[in-house]
Amino acid sequence: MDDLNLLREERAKLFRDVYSGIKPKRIPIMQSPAFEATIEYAITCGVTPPGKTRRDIYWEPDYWFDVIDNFNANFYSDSAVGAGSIRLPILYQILGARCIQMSESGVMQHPEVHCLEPEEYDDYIADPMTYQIEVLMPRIYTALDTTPGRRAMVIAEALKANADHMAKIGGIMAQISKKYGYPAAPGGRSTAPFDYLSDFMRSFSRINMDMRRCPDKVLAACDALVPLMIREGLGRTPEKLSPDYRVTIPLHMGSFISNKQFEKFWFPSMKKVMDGLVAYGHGVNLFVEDDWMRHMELMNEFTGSIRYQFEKGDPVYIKKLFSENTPAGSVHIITGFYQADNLRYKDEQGCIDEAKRLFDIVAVDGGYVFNFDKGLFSLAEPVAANLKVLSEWMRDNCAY
Amino acid sequence: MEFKTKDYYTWDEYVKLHPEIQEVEGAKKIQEYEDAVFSLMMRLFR
Repeated sequence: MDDLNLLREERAKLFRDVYSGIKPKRIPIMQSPAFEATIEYAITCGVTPPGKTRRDIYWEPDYWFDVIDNFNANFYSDSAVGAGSIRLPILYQILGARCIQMSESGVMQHPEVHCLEPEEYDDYIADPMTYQIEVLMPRIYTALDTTPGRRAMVIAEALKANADHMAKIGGIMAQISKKYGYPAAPGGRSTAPFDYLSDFMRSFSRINMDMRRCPDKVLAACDALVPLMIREGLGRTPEKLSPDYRVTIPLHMGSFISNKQFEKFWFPSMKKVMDGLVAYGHGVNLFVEDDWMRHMELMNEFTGSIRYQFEKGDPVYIKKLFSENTPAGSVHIITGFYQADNLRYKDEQGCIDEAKRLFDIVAVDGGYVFNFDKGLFSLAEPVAANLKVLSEWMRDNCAY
Repeated sequence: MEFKTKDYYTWDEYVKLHPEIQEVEGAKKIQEYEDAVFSLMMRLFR
C-alpha cells in the first residue's frame, strides 16, 4: 500500500473509531469553510484569473477545482474540504428564487420569506409534498408562476443545471480525495420538521404566531413531514447505503424558542425523524447553531451515533452530560466549541493555547472531533496564517 | 419511511399504469429520475 492509501486508511480509522465510541489514535481534524471564504482565499492566492470576482467564480464551475484544491493544499484536515453547503446561483436564478439570492459581493443569502398561509394548513397536512409542488413553489420560485408548459421547461432547466453542477463537484471531490488521501465520507442531508416548516414555508416570525394561534395545526404539519424528512436523509433504499453513511442536519429554531415550546413543538417530530434515520445503523451529524444549552437534556435522548457540532454553550456541561447520560448503546460525539474568532483576534500561540484549553475539557478519553464552532466565512489575514499553524499543530500534537 | 403523495410514483405504482414495460429491466431506471426530482423538490424548501 502506498503512502497516500496508508494515510487514507489511517484517517478513515480515526473517524470510524470516534463514531463507534472507541478512543481514536488522535483527535480527528475537520474543517468546513464556507465556499465564499474558499473562493476569496483563492483570489488572494492568485490561483484564479486576474479580475475575476467571487461573484464571477461562484457562477463558473470551471474554476472550482483550483479553488478547492488551493484550500486543501494549504491547510491540514483529515477529511476532504469541498464547496461546503453550496447554494448554486444558477439553480436559484433559473427558478427566480425569492428565498435564496446572491448579494452584489457574491454571498448567497436567505431573506425572510413565507409561502404557506395559516388557512392552508389543513391542505398542506393532507399531502405536504404535493402542496409544495402544486401551490407553494410558484410563490417563492417566481419563474414557475407561469403557464404549465413554461413551468415544465423551467423545472427541466433547473434540474439539468443542478445535476451538471453537482456532477462537477462530485468529480472534483473524487480528484481531491485521491490527491490528498482523504477517506470517503458518504452522507446525505435532512431537516428537523419544525425547522423545515419555519424556514421557507411559514418564516421565522409567522411560526412564532402559529404556535400561539393554531398549535394543533403546527404539530400536525410537523408530524406530516416526518416520513419526508427520513426519506430525504436516507433515500429510497437505506439498507443499501454504506455503513459509514451519515446524515447532516443543521438545526435552526431551538435557540429562538422557550423550553416549553421546544418540548411541545420542536422535539417530538424530530425524535421520530432521528429514530428513523438511525434505524439502519447510520449516523447523524447535527449542527447545533447558536446556543441550545437549555434544550440539551432532551437533545441527549437521541439514540445511535450522533455527532453534535456546537456553536455556543458550555463544553464542561456537555462533556459531563454525554459521558454520564448518553442512552445505553449510543455514542454522542462533540465537535465545534472552538470559536472561529480566535483566528482573527489571537496570535499563533494564542490559537494553540485556546485549543489546549478546550481539548482538556472535551477531548478527554475520545468522543471529540475538531471543527470550528461554525464554517469559516473569511480567510483574510491573520485568519489564514493562524489556521495553518493551528491545523498543523493539531496534526502533530493531539495523539492520545 | 412510507408516505403517500399523489405527485410521486414508485416503480411498482408506475408499472401498473404501463404494464407493457414491466419485464424490461432497464426501464426501472425511470425510478432514479423520479427520485432525483423528488430530492430537488424537497431541497428547494430548505
